[in-house]
Amino acid sequence: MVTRRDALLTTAAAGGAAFLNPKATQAQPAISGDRAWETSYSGGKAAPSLPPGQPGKDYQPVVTPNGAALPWKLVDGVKVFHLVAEEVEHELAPGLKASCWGYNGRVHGPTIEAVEGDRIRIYVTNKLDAPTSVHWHGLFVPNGMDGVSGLTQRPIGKGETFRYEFTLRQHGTFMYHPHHDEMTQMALGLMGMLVVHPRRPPADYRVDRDFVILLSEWRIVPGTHRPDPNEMTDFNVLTMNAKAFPGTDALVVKTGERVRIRLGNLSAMDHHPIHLHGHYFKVAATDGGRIPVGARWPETTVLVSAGTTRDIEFIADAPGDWPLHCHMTHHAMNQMGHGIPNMIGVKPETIDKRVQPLLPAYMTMGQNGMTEMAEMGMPMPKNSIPMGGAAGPRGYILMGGMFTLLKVRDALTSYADPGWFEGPVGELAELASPAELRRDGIDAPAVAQGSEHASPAAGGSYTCPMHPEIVRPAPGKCPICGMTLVKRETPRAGH
Amino acid sequence: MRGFRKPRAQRAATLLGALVMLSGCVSEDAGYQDVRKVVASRTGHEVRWQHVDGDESARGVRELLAQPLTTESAVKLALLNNADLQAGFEELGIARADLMSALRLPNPVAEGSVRFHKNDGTTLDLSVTEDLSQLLFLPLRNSAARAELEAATLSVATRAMDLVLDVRTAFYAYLADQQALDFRRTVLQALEASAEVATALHDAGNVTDLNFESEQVLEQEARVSFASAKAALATSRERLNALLGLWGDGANWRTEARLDAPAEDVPLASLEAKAVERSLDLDIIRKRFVAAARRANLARAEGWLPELKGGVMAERESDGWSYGPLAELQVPLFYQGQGEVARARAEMRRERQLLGAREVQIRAAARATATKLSAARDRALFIKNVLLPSRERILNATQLQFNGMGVSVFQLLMAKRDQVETAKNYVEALRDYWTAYAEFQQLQSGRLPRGSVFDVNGLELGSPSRRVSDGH
Repeated sequence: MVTRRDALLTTAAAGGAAFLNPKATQAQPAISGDRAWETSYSGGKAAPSLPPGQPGKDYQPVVTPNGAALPWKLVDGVKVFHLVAEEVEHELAPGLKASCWGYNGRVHGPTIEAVEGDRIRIYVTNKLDAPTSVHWHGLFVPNGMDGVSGLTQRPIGKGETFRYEFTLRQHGTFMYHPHHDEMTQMALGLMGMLVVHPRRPPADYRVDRDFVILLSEWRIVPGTHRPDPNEMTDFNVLTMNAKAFPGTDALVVKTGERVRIRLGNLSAMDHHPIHLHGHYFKVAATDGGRIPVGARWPETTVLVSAGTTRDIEFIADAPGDWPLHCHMTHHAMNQMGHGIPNMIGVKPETIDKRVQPLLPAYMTMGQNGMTEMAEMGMPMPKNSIPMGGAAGPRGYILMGGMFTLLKVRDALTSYADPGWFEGPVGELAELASPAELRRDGIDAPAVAQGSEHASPAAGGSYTCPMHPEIVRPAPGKCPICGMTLVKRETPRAGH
Repeated sequence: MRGFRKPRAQRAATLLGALVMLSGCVSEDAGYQDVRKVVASRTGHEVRWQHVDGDESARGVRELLAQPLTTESAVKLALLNNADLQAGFEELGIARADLMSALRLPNPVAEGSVRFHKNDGTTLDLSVTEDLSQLLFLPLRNSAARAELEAATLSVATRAMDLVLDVRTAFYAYLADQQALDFRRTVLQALEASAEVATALHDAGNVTDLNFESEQVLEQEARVSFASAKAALATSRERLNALLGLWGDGANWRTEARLDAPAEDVPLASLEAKAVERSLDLDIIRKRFVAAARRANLARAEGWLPELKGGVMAERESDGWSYGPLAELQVPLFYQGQGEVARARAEMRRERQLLGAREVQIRAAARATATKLSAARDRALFIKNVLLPSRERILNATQLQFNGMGVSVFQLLMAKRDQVETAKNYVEALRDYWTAYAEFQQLQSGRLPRGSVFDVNGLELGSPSRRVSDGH
């Protein structure tokens, strides 16, 4: 936007905000005289498009964990994309598949990536039985391209292909989703991220790793194969890029790299406080635009409301496996039921004795929380993952849903999943030895470290479903309860 | 009939011998062997008349009680030990007695008198007469009484068949009640478990008092149902004991039998025809009709020759003996036995109408039993093949949902209870099936099940109110 640049220089020359970088991006709203009102809140006056930005040269492509970028081809200087809305068989996590609606065979749709000033043309083919449309969330587009079915366009009928075309007059993190029967179509998975890079990025814009994560929530009754779009409050599958842990790919970075994570939330009802362990970050942008450097506030948890995006930026300078997850406790669980009696504190022995003669497969559960249930590997309704979680390096990680890992490593040969983090000796929370307790005058029962707590082998090892602290290299019986040891899942080496 | 062979006067020995040959002896087990043959061929079971065959029942009962009872061993026990059956045999005894009476040779009448004269002398009159007309009609009386004996034979056989059906029905009912008690026990256990969970939750402070009490009351109501089932079982047991004639130590029998799955489908279309063709009920009526017809003949003959006596008389007067034949004849001037004939004819008509009525009842019962058996079989098989597996699948799916925290342990126990209820319905369906099957067999064997809804007259077929032996 040539006019804006002039305005900026004018302001700078006028001795305005010293914090303004002369190479500030064109998309920074110009500040007019009284510093309260911007020049435009919708991208300003229409301007001719700029030459199409090229990956690597004009921008560093973003990484969509578990996802992909929507490919484009150049036709007379216009980036041409093709979105196909269709039914897609999608795996949300190992063991949980569902018949969803997505774009181009993917749930969620592939990330659309372009550069400010690009002219983009997106064809949308509707292969669903229902009519649809696509709205470009946060984008300044001509009203007729806004994608609101019935208002700005007629709906895209079954089998039809519509053309959306506009010039990008901003940069930031945006989203795209249907604006026809959103309740149904978004609940079934139709949505995607849309990233626009600045034409002339300021220095602080450049990062080493740029991730895109779209948050959503679903209701999939355990044992069924289809999301229920009528659910309003009781969602039981929470996803990042349509995957629930342990289905989420890790965000792999090298120690010291600059990281940006773009979070979008198209959940039906919930906001999500996304929390990062081990680092704080600055909230650097919303879908309304980039936040001035001095106004960026520090967080360890950023609340991403429904219908917004947040970009967070930080330097990943602490090696380790750092969880990145929604801090609503139920959003980090998979598919569990919430309507059952509260079994905490209930002694199971008499109950088991009475019930098991009638129902041999029965076992009282929940009296100590979720741990045993998740680890026991009991038979579940088909196509369901009620407990969620996966075997980790030091036991069972009882997490699910909107949960992933930021894996920061000193030495990386590639950005493939590097496996589990092994920290330096001595920086591990472990059983306090009797000597330590004595030395520090701690009045607590001392439990001696035994061979039972050997660190796990990377390959096959056997553990007791009821007592995960028991780990043996070979099959056998648990010394505490006598149950047959089960083989532990080998740690993930990436999917 | 040992009394029949008392020594006779030599004079008439030959004549009497011929008459005896003519009338035929009423042999010792007349009718009894036929009863045994009919019962064996229609039910496959042995029956004994203790009065004739000796009382082997004690040993037989001991042997049968040494093993757990089965349906058929219970039937055998009843046939050995049921006193009502033995009482029923006396219908045969009475018919035989009637035959004996009918075949009696009339006793001669001897008459003598002395007359004392005023002038010295006495007159002596002697005579001996024999009722010749009675002798003459002996064959007719014989054939009528034999027809009655045959009817009585069949009637006794049907009593045995009734007992067999009653025992089978009672045994099936007992087995069903026994299994129902097991089911009620399982349901009670499930609800005890539910109540235990509720108590544990309540103690841990996790549920309200209302929640707690609601679970307790379910267990308590199940306890009441269990007690009722126990009482029902005791009643079934005593009904069986009454039929088997057992009490005291003998009533402590056990059984390991269970109601089996339905048998192969049987052709039902021909039941109506077969039931009519093989019907003992109709045979009894026919025989009684024949007896009545013969009584009509007898009455007509006797009407025209009411009495003819012949004999010898001798008189001794002052001039010595005189003798000569003597005859006495009742002249059928005013009455030729119309009353007796009319009565016998009325009895004939009655039997003929009864034959028609009974046949209609048998046909209706056959069609109804065929339908009932077919429906009971379908119902039992449907529960077995569709409902029970469905409940099993529901229970398994509920267990999976419980494992996945989708449902509570209460719902899991309720699913178990529902499964048990279906199993109980299955047992009741089996009981209904086997009872219908036993009635089907009964009809096929030629007896209308007693107490059935088609038994409008109580099956006490009009017994002849006049016996052949009645004198005139």
